[in-house]
Amino acid sequence: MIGVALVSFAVFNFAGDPVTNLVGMQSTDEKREEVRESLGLNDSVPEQFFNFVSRSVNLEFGISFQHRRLVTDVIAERLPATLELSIVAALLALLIGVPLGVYTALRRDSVVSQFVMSLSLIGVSLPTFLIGILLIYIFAVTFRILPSFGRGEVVDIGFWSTGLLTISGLKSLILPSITLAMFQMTLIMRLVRSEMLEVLRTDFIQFARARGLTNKVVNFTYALMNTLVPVLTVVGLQLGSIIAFSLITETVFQWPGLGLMFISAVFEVDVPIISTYLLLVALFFVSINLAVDLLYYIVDPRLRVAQSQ
Amino acid sequence: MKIASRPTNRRSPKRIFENVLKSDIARSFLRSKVTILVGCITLIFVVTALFAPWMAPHNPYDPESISVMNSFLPPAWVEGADIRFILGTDPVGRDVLSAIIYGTRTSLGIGLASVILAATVGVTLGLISGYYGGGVDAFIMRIAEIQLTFPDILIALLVDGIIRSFLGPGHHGNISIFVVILAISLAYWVHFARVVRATTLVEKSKDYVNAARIAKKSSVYIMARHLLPNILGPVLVIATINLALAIVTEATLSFLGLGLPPTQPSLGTLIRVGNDYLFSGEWWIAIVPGAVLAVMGLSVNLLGDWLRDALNPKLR
Repeated sequence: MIGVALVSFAVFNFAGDPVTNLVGMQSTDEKREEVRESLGLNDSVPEQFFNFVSRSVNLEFGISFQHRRLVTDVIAERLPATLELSIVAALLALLIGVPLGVYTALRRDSVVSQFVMSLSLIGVSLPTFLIGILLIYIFAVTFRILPSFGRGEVVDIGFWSTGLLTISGLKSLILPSITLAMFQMTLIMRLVRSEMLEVLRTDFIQFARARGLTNKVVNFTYALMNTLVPVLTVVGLQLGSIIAFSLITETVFQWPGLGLMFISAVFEVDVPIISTYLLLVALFFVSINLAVDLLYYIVDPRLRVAQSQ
Repeated sequence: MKIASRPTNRRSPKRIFENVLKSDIARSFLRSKVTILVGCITLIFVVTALFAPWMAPHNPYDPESISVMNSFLPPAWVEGADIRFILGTDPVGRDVLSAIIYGTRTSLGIGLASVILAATVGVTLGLISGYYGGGVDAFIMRIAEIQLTFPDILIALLVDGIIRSFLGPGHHGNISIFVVILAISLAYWVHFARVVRATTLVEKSKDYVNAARIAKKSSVYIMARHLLPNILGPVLVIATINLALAIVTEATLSFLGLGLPPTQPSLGTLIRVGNDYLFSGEWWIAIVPGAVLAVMGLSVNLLGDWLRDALNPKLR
């Protein structure tokens, strides 16, 4: 985290000349010196870094060059769009990926499983943006049933603007969330499948069958529950990569979220936005890793036993 | 006379060819039809990339051969097509097939360059980390671990974004190829470093390394002459799989507009350009390079999978 803070500080400080960006090219030297002083740019580098950290803690990230507004405002406005998209995509990936994984593990040789497995290979190796373009071409250009860009109508609930309550909002959510979920879905599916196959071979499953328990109980209570422990960890870590891929999905679908903001910031060399986004992503990853560690501790009883001894 | 002729006979091209056919790797290659198919496809891509100027029917970089009159022509099997442009033309009248052939060259080239750079950095750091151990090892591996918690594509994007913000606007063009290569290899060196370190740890306790050490060879010599050849197998596997990843990453960066400029189109840039015309019905400009990219990524990926299985003695 500190490392990332250093990097984003470096970007903030040394990329271009912020003074020129703020005041414009045609300003006098005295004016520049004044701005320089007010930004604290004449302090030593460690001092500046300290100021940067303390400002970050107070959520003061400065003014975006591109939007001419506070970075925090811009981000607060964009955050709901990205969060809605990511959460829907994660749910989609889980709700489709896990059942498909279970099915392909139980019916290993059926035609449907073979078909799903070869499809999933394509899902893993096709780049996300290509899936997005294909979906746009099929559903938005050829059949004209789904919108291909934007969020549709949004409803403001206090500070949170949501697209989940309007029909056009929901409709425009379909394609991006499928695109975003595709990679995660195939990954979860393959993981559940291989874990499930492993568990089904173990002695306690054989024993459960010998006790005459029905297939349903054995498969879903015993086998699936034991499969879910490692799956949960991976899913937690994959949440982070949803954020990464949302950069791409948002660009393809012109979804007005954080990813699109970052990409256009890179184009415009809007340094405050870039460095704040870096910090935000790092914060997100650190907290996810922490949450996954804690979750592991809760889900897996063996870890707790080891602790109490 | 007879005895003397045997060694030369063994080295005759025919013998070598037979020996190659009999080897384990060739056998496992010939056993799977998918692998043969995938190998052929990859070979076609490599040949296309190498001989792009002779294979392309038109030169997309030559302004004289481009005419705006020919813009937006559909592929040959659609009505209204011109037979000279088998896969149609783009908004400025460039032949899509030729652009794809040149794009394949750029994509493969950048993929290879970034994998080689990533492998060089990764193998060196992995060897050092595994051979010396201790503080150096902990330091390098801690960096690797931190980086591994972030998805590769995010690292590549962020590195690309950071370098660009340092360069400032207007510095694009030729330099962006190196920016892309650097960004991708910085994202992928970790894969090499970790595997090389693990293999080095196994290899360095073996007798031949001890023998070299007793013979007072220097550490660098041992690493380069004794350890390196013995860890090349797994490195080759990772390199192949990472080549597929690197090609896709480059295409993604270019698609987002952070990769190569339109003057030097890779497959990703072509898709980006074509994406703007998707809605007006000119689907071939985006979909055809997309399909080529998908086939290329998939074949290199499957080739890597096969190589992993073939070189792994446990699975044999």
